[in-house]
Amino acid sequence: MTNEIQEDQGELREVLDKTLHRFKNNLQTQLSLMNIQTATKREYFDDRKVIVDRIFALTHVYDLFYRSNKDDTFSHDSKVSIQSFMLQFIQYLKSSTTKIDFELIDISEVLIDVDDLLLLSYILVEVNDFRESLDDTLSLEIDQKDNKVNFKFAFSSIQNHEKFHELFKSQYKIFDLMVMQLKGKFDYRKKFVRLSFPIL
Amino acid sequence: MKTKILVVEDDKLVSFEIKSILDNNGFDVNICESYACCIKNLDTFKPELILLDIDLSKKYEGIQIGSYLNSKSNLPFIYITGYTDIETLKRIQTTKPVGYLSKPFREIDIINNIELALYNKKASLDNVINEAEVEEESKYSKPIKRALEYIDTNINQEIKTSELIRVSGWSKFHFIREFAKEVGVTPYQYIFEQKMNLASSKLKNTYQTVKEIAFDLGYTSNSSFTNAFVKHSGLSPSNFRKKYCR
Repeated sequence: MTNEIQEDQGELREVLDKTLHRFKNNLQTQLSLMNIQTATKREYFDDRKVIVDRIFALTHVYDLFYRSNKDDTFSHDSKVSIQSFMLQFIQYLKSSTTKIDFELIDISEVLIDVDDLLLLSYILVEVNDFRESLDDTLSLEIDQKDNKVNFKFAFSSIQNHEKFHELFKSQYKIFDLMVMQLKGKFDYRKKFVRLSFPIL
Repeated sequence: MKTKILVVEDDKLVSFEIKSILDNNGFDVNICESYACCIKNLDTFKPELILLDIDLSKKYEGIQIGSYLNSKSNLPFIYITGYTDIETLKRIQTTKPVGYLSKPFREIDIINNIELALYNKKASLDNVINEAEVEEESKYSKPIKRALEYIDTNINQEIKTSELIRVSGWSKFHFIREFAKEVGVTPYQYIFEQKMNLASSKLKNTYQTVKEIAFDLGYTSNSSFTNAFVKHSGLSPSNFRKKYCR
């Protein structure tokens, strides 16, 4: 009995250590994004909203992470449902605009790492800021195929998305860095831009 | 001439941020994302200081690099990490970093740590030079010093006595006799001791497998390394690790 209690305490300590580590890394990411913004002269349409949205993304991810692991005493799994997150987070973004349409296709079973989900949400925040600067409607579609998540987006005012990169070239560095960190890549098509990244 | 700093960090956002900070403060910066890249850059980039993330590839690879730097070079390094638990702190202390930077950090934290580390490095170098000037004349002759430096640089490979003789510039018998006289052991014994010390440090401070350590030290088979290690410490590598690691 004593051994079991000691083992449980040890595991609890390990989970707390990991949580603290994760918490600090997430704060570092938020700080890094702000500093890179200054270093690369990234001009957001709405700076304040971008920072608030990132903080809410972080909150939504951890709410979900907590709820998914609630019944597991000492969960070591850091994966959560992309569908649940996106439903919640896009709903949050839509609370301040009606100009976002989205579709989630066949991702109800897909679990991705918390850190990757955070990066994806920060990418979505960037895309939403592009949308605001264009005063446009954003269409999103997320699906999965061959162990990859495909995140497609399109703006109604852009006729040819093959030129999307050129349109925002000077504002692209943060976007690019996050995509590299996700080990993802862009595919620019006429009707949309697709970001695909592996489910690890 | 700008001070060269190698940043070993696999998070692209963090490494880019650090690079921007260091560029703005007049340093020459290279970024690496892995153990292998870092080791390669020691020769190609020749950094004067290393900023090292602990949890590279989520495998604590940073501590392996720290352990390598501690045993193989005098290069100062500073850990950057979100870990602040006592177990990790104890582990990293054994690798003797010159600093420790906790995430999240500010520009001023990085710069202060670097400036302090570089100042301490310069001060200790001045001391070493002063001591060496006194010691050099008294302790080793130049040929033996060259041989010792060769051993130190090539400890990760098989070191042949013929190579030592070549760098010393002496004849075979003269070299072996003088080496034993000045160092106190034969070249073979000296190399053996150095390799085993490095192996002990790696077993204690890294997660490298015994096979990897054997390979790193220039042993072509696991069994010949194990035999050598047992001869040196009286324990097999895996038992040594069990005994000295938590």
